[in-house]
Amino acid sequence: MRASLASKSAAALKTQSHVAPLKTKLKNGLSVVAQDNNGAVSQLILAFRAGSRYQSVTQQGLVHHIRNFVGRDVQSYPGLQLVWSSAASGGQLNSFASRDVFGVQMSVPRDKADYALSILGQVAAQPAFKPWEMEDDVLPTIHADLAQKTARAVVFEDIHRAAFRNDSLGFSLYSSKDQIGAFKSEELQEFARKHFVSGNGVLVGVNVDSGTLQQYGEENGAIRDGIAVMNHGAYFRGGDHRRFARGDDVHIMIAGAGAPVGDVKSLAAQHVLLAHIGQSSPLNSRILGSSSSSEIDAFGASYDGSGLIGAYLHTSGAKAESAVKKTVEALRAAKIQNLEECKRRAINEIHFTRESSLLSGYEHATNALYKGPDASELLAEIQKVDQSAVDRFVKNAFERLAISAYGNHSTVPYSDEI
Amino acid sequence: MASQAASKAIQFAYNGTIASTLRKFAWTNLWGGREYGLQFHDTYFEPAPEVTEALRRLNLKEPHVFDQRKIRLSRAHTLALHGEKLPKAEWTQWDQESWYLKPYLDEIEKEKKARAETSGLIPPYEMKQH
Repeated sequence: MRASLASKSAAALKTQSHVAPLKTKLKNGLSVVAQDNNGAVSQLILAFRAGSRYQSVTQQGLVHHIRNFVGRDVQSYPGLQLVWSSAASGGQLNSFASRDVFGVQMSVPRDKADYALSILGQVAAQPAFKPWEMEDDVLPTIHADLAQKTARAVVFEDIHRAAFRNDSLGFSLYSSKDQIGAFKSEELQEFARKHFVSGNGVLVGVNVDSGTLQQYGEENGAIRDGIAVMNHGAYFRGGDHRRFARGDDVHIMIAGAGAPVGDVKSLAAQHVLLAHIGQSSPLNSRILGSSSSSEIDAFGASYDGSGLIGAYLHTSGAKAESAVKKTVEALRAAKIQNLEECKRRAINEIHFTRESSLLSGYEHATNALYKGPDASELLAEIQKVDQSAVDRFVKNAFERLAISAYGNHSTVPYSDEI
Repeated sequence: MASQAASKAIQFAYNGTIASTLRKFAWTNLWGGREYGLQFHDTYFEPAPEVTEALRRLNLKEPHVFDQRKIRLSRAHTLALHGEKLPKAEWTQWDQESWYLKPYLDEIEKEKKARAETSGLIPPYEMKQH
């Protein structure tokens, strides 16, 4: 049975015919990535190197304000008109931000893609940040965002603060409550002037004609000319960050130094390791026992120059100490019994991501801005991963740890105690 | 030409020779704010929702202009209270006149039009309970 499955999967590997994305860099500095899966819905993304790591120390929370301003007035058009016309064409407009990247994404039926591109350029690259819109429209949405944060999101932001300490990569994607409304329109405009420029951005189109994309990239008046903005770099330092909250349970994240976006070999090893320690693996039951009223799952995050890999625990305060110690033990001594199975699972995950035009659009945007590897490159590298590569990765990753805890953290050990 | 708007950025609906001459004539002779040192938009009907909103936006975006307006109005009210007027040399001159609310009023009108053409939703400033 296993042999036939293996031969079937080998056949599947051979017959896959994902068209490689077409990548160009225009004269004005804008990167353009086009991939045509012959789907009926186009995914358009205009993204810039303007994530939360590009904030200065006093600007923490600025990107959250900018993200919530998308869809409001732009320099030459009322926001309502743009959003309404995109909806009238069947489009959906979303803004997104990570620590590295800020962008606007539009999903639109294929025949309206060129009209949608013109809207996208205006919405993403020409925000007006009008002061009255800040008061009336944007600040309430930021309050709503903070109210909807889950506990896992809180520890996820905190683990970056713990891991990267004073580096800007440690800044949160969310604005803190007392920073809401602390930014004047001029400060937002200054940030946009510096970051929303052609040399700093990428235009991604999945299921769009590449000629249309390139023509828009060259001829549009929306994205001003400018040079790329460099970040200060960051490396994993490790540490702790804790928040107290009443209650019996505690949410914990434990992380080690993961693979940066540009390092394809480390990324491949990280994917294989994540497949091993992921949700459906034996790690779960071994650590927490059969009576698990707790949850554990793995996470990985890759940024420019550094990354994180680790596990998230949700457990009661009484079991926290043993759960953390056992998790760290299991992470540091991760012995992968069935390497081929983990590699297969990692490869499958990448295939599933490639199937979604939206997710592959986001991947293209990040890879274009930060010289990350293509999906096919990553797949080839995962095939080459061997036991020694994974062992090396594990040793480097979990040498120092970062731990963030939210809740009843009184028994959670500190990172230097483990 | 002399009777065009002092600030080149301000464009009215009618900007030709006749219209601008009439405008200057009306501003000089038919409006009473000059002798109190006021500008025309100081005396615009404030309770109208469009003007209220334009003044709010002016305060947010150009607080210095809003403060100067407040000072002019305060001085004019004090004069009127005492039954006085400024000496003719200190009356507002044509080149000092700036229609500072015009851009905001234009934007509000455009928003109303966009709202009517799209969703018909009431704008936030009219939804506020005062």
